[in-house]
Order: sequence, then C-alpha cells, then structure tokens
Amino acid sequence: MHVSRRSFFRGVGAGTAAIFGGTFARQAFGQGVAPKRLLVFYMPNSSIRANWAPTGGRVVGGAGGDATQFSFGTANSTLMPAKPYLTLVDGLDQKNIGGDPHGSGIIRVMTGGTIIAGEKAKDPMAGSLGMGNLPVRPSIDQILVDQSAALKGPPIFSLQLAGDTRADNGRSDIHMHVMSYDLKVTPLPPDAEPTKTFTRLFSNIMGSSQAASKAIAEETSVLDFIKGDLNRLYQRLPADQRPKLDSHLGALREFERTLVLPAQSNVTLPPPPPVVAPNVSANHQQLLRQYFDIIKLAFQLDLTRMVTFMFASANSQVVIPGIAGLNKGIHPTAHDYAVAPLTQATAWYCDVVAKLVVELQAIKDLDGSSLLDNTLIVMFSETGQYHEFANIPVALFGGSKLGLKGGRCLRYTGQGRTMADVWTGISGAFGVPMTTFGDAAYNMGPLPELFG
Amino acid sequence: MKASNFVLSSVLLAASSGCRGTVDNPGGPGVNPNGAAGAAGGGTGLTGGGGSPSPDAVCSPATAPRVWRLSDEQFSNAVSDLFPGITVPAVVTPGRTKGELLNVAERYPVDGALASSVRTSAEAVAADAVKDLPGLLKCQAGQADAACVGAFVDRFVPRAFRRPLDATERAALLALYTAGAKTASADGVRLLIDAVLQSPSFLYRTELGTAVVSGKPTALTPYELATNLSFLVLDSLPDVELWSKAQDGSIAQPQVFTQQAARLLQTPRGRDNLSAIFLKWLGLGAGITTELDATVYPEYDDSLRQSMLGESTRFISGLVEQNGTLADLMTSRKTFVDGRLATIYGVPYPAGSTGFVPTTLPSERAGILTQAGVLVGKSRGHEIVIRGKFVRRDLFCQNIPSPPPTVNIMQFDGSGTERQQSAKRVSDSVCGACHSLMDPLGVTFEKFDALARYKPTAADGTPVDSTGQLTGTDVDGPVASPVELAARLGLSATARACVSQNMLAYALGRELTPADQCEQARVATQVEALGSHLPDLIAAIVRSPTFATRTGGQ
Repeated sequence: MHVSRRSFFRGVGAGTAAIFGGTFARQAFGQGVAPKRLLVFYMPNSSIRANWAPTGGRVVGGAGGDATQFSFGTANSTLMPAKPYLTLVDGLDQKNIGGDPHGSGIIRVMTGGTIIAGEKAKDPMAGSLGMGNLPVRPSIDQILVDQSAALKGPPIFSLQLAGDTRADNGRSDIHMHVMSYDLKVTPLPPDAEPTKTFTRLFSNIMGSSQAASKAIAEETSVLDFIKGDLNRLYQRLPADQRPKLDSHLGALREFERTLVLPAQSNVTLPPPPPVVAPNVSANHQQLLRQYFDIIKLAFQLDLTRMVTFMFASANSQVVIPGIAGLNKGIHPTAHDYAVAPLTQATAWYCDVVAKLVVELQAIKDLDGSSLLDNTLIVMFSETGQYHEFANIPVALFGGSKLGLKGGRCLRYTGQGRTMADVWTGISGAFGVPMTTFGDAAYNMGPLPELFG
Repeated sequence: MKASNFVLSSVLLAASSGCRGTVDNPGGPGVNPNGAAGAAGGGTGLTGGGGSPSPDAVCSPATAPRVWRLSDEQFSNAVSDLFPGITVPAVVTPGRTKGELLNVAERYPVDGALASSVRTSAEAVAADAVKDLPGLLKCQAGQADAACVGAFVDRFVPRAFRRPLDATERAALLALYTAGAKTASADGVRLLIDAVLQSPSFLYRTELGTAVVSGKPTALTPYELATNLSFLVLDSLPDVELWSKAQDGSIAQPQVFTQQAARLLQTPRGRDNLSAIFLKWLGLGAGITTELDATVYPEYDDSLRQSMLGESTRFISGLVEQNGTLADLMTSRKTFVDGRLATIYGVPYPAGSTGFVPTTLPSERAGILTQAGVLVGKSRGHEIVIRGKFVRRDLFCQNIPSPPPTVNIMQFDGSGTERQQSAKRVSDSVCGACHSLMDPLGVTFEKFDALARYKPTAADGTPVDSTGQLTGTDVDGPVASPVELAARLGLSATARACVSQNMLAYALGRELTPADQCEQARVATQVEALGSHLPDLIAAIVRSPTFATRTGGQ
C-alpha cells in the first residue's frame, strides 16, 4: 500500500515518534551553536496611554535613573511574569502621520517613515473604490532576512502570520492586514489558519524510513513537472506578468528546500491542531494559542528564523470574550474612547505574550541556553491610544544572546525617537549595522543603551 | 437621466479634493476625472459632451495580456468538474477576504502558504480519484496500460489546462506516470493527477491572445475565449458543449459565442453563479459573519444566520430565474421567510409549515436593503457610517476616501446617541465633507436594530428619527426610511450603472480605471436597452469586443 508523505505524517500521531527536524542536522558545521531568531508582534489599535505608562525606569540621555526600578501600568501589568526578560521602551512616537491612521501607522512602523498617504495613495490595483496607504519601502523583517547572515539557513526564509485578518477595508485593499513587504515592496499577506500553516511547515518532516524516501521521490517527480510547466508558461508571458510566476517559483523552491531536510532531532512533533474557523472572535484565543505552538516548534526545528505576527488587522474587529464593553470590536471601541475595555484588551494581549515568553524560556536550545535567549521578540502598537501617535507601546523580550538585557524600562520621551531607532538597534544585533532605517529624516540612529 | 450623467458619476475617482465641497456638486463627490489620482487620465471622451454612447459602441480593450489565477472557489469548482463526486479540500489564498466580489488578477501571487494549500488539496483529490482506477481510466478490453493512460491524458489534461497539450508536455506527463507506476499503475496515475492540479497551466487562466503585435489589440484564442466565458458565467471550466466549440474554434464566431453565452446563462449553474455574484456584491459571499453582542442579541445564533442567508439567496435566485430587474432587486416586497425570519419581520408564518415559504413584506420593508442578511451584515461598529458607506460606495459607486491627514477625531468622545454623534460628524468642517455623504443615508436605517428588527420607537417611547437626505446623485431628495431610499435607487440610472460597473469589474478581475470609461458606459447603456434584467448584466458584458480582446501589451 502506498504511503504518501502526508498520510505517513498523519500516521505518526501524537508523540508516537520522536522526529527528525531539519534543525541542527544541517548544523553539523557548528555543533552547539543555536540560530538567532526574530519574532515581531503587532498589537493593533492599543492602548490607553495613562494605563500603559510605567513608572520609574531610566531616562536615557537625560535624568538617568535605574532601569531596573520600575512598575507596570494596569494595561501592561500582565507582563509581570516576563519581567526578567523584558525591556519596556517608553516614549517613542510615530511621526508624519497622515491618511488613514491605522493603515499608515503599521506601514510606517514596519517600513520606516515615508508612505504614500491618504488621498494620493490610491492603490493601482484597488481602482476607484480602494483607498488607503501604500508603502514605498520593504519592511524591516524582509531587509533583515535579506541582509543578515544570522537569519539565513532555514528553508522558510520568513513567516507572516495573523490571529485575525478582518478589516473594514476599502474593497480590494489589503494593506490593513499586511505588515510585511518584500524587497520589491510586494505585500506579503499573513496566513491566518493554523492548521494550514502546520501542514505547510511540518508535513514534510519525517523519519528516514523507506516510505519516506519513496514519498520524497514522488514529491520530487511531481515538482519537476510543475516547474517545467511553469517555465514553459513563463516563456510565453509579457514581462509585466512574469513576477507572478517568479513568486510562484519561489514558493515551489521553498517546498523543495523542505524536502531535503535531514532526519534528525529530539523534538517530538505533536498532531496537527484541530481546525478552528479563522476570523471568529470566539476563536481568537485558541487561534493565537495554536500559532504560538507552531512558532515554538518552527523555531526549535529551525524551519524559519523570522516571524511577523499580527494579532489582528490594523482595523481590528476582534471582540475578546469576557471583556465588557468591547462588543463592537477593538477598532470601533477605540473610536468610542472606552478606556476600560481598551485597557483590558491590551492587558489581555500582554498576558498571552508573557506566557509565550515564559514558555520559550523553558525550552532548551541547541547551545544549552534557552530558546528565549536566542530569540528576540518585539511587541508594538502603532498608536499610543485611540488614534494618537505619541508614546506608542513598545516592549522587547528575550534575546540575551543578542545583547538585550531584561528587567528594564528605558525612557526616551521627548527625544523625537521612533520605532526606526529600535529597528536599527535590532539590525545591529543581527549583524547588519544600520545607522538609519527607512526615511533618514525620521530616525536618529540606534537607541542608546538598548543593546549591548 | 442622461447617460452622460451616470457615466460621469460612475467613474468617480477620489481626486485630490477628497470629499470637500462636493455635496452640492451634481456630479457627485470627488468628481475630477483629470485629478492626480486618475493614473490613466480621464479624457477618454465620454465625460463631456453628452448623448448616450451606443450600446454597440466599439471600445478599445483596456485589459493587457495577462495570466489570471483561479480564485479559491474556482479551483474547487474546476477540480469538481474534472472529478465529479470527489471532495475537494478548500484552498485558501492568504490575504484574500473570503467571498470577496473580485478575484483581483494582479494581486495574491502564489506564496509558500498558498502553494502548500494547493498541494494538500491536489494530493487528496488525486489519491481519491485513483480509488476507482478502472472507472477513471475506462480502458478498453485488451488495451495496454500505457495506451490507456495515454488516452486518459489526452482526455483529461487538455480540459484541465483548457488548451491542447503539446508533445513535450504529453511526454513529461507519461514519464511521470511511468515513474510512479513502478510500484502500481494507480500510483502513476495519482502522481499525474497531482501534478496537473498543481500546474500553473491549470491554476492560471491565460489571456495572451493569438498574436501579440505591440500596440495592437489581440483577440483571445478560441480556448481563452471559451474559458473566459465559462469562468464568468459558471465560475468554472467550460462545460462539454462549450468545450467542443473551443476545440473546433467555432466559439470565435460571434453568432456561436452569443448563442453559447445565452445558453450558459440559462443553465441552473449559470443562474446559481449569477445569484452568488450578487451575494458577493452585497457582502454575503462568505455568509453572514457579523458578530453581535450575545447579551443584547441572544437569539443571534448560527441557525438564524443560515435563515438570513437562506432568504437572501432565495430572493435573489428567484429574481434571476424570473428575469427580474434591478428595480425589483431594490423594491420587491415578495420574498421568503422561515419561522425565525417571520418573527423578525413580523409576518405570518402558516401553521404546519416547514422551511421557507413565500411572503409579502409589510410596508416598512422592501428589496435587499431591509433584508436581514444585508442589514445584519452592515451592523458592525458604528452602523450609521457602515450602512451609509455601503449605500454610497456599493450601490452608487461613489468613493469615500480615507480620513484626511488633518482629521481630529479626538473631538468625538463617543457620548450621546448614535444619531447625535452622527450629527456632530456631519457638521464638523473636516469630517463633514465625507460624513455628509454617508451619515444622512445611514440614518434612514435607524428604525432597524442590529438584528434587522423594526423598532420605530426608542426604549423611552419616543419615535426614532430616521430622516435623512440623498445628495450628489440623480435621485436626490429627502429620505426617511430604507423603503424610500430603495424607491429612489429603483429609479436611479446611477445605481443601475453602478451594478453593471461592479459586474464589469468582476468580469475583468480588477477595479475599473478611467481607461474603462468607454466600456463602462457601453455596458450601462446596453443594460438599459435590454431592460435592466439581472441576467442582462452578464449578457451586456460578454457582447463586448473588449471581453474578447486584450491590449497590445508592451
């Protein structure tokens, strides 16, 4: 009886086999060295400034103070369990805001400054009915994946994920639910269905059985035909249509790379998560949970080193169950200036992130340290509160092997600092020295004292 | 209503002036065909002057040669047509809103996630398809395996690829079969099917034409033409009869093409697909996804959502089947209710009935605007804005730009009733420019709650004020209810042109640009000339030479 790779995989079942993993089989050249990873969380439409503001901490470049002596606000008090691994970065602003506040905010943070804003931003693909904001530069994650040697190696160069993608977009406008743009500034929309992501990442991982060898041979034969077909079609296409197939070929190559992963690892692959309907508020917590488990596993198996994750779109329609007064969804609630539900929503997201941080701390990495030590996590919102852009919430976690110290609150209030100054610092930590990111006029260089 | 007017207002582009100062502009908001936003310029000659464009005007094609990937739904439909009875695991394109009206051809390149989704589906279908290998291959007695598989390839693959196979492809497929068949013949066929369903030749429709001469329009090949027609009308592959017309090339003859288009529109699948397009236009393509507060609307459960969707589906299907008009869509009081909807609408539901029964709506309801599915679908967040924007943008095709950079929303603190908040938005010097186009339409729905129940009095017993105003259209005037609004929409040439504009965008797989003005006007005039019946919308589009030709490209 034929055993397809997929059925083979399904047959593995929960915990019945210790599996393989590409990870560090490929790392024969560097036993005991763990990869460095970056995980970026976008927490849309948060928070409430007065309730986020920590007290104490260190005013960098000013009054000074002890970075480790600070207290959380009510909106981020749920970060407490992650405090030893965290740096709160306070006092960053968004600059040059125009056009749609959320759509422009997320693009400005991720691509650095300039966008085509507001009424001039008519997406050529969206025609007369689609409006919004267009980026003019790639996002930081894609630049780092391209330039950082530390991030190269895994079969999947970067992953774009979302906990919810609903948005009150203009028709055909996708920029509200995209946070990553490739080097050609093509939007990279996130995957929002954990079971499908699980299949994409893990279905090709299996032992070195005879069935697996046969399955790999089959996949390779099929792939050869598909690539041949793609090439034949490519030759017939006008130049402006070829990028579509370039992207398609890139996707096939990604799959091809996963096919040659060697079989070795001490990681036990769990069964696929149950199918949960995406973009349903009642499922939000479970969807995040499923994705967090997938991210942990993908990092452990070194399938990817770069993940951007939107909790929801830049126009969040999510209703977090159990939070009174949030029944219109987070974004409409921000229009209502409802302090309590917005504070609770922020605290809720901080809580899920803190739990993940603690879990990553408990997982042993290849170099004997924890997964968290080699993984830098960034969480930000594009707004300080409602639709205001001063004092946006920013927190960094983990990454001690990248030079980030925990247990700190650093303040840069009033210095004209932006997220670009965080990104340039992170870029340096990943071995890509950068003095400015995006529009040079809107950033001042890496934040002093953040790394090192 | 002169045609020139609705052309004008139906090609609105958000110009640099945004919504400002446009309220009293008879052409509608943001009219500035030569504005900075009009990438291709506005001067195609139909915005000035006047006089109706001829229904048979010959417009230059405005769509360049391209490949157009099947939508997620089309993938499922096409695979189902190739393998009837086999379950097709759904493919999901990341970033695309499920049930969205347009399958934008230049959006959503295949990424790792999508390729994985397609692979998973193709592998499952292929494994299922070979379970009954003799039934699939239909080998003749005594026929050798290889010959039989060759015949299967010749039968199956051209239909899947919607074009003849060339010798290289055929050889490659047979080689794939041979490689797989080392273990079992079924394995070989399975790999072959798996590969075909993941191939770009299956996943992309080509619109490359017969011979591209730079600068000169090119006619689609007979195969491309038949494929375009079938995906427009059936949302799937050509059926057997259409396929034969592609194979013998006769589909390129206008008479044959017209006859095939008319035939397909009359098939149950053609009618169902037309209904589905209307549901997508109304935002119901993925069902009713609005979330309501369960403490306020405890009865809002999945079965009620199914009832609501069921009504909209039956209402539109009924109109399509009876050759109803766009005015009927807006104003008809004849619909279908089940027990739960009857309660919401306050209409009798005959004792002993089950499921949906025909009903006539009370005077406060008419057409799609007061349908539960549509109203609930537009009950998110701030309803007055959402509902007003829906009417303005989706029913009049008048764009509402994003909030301008100077907007100060901090002055709106969320206090007061929805109506009071709306009044504040409309009277604000910056916000009012756009909100005066949305809110005065949205307020006319104020007597309907989020569950689409009629509530003419507020909790304190005072009558609800739902008086609004229609401006910037060809049917301006005071309106105080969705029924009054629907009556005006039923009379509006702008609204009729808007539906055909949406349909044209759907047919082209892209939003329209100024370069489409000629075709837009031609289709709208054609629809009017035919009587504005729902199937006329498709008929008017496929009659066009631009449907069958592409620009000279680069």
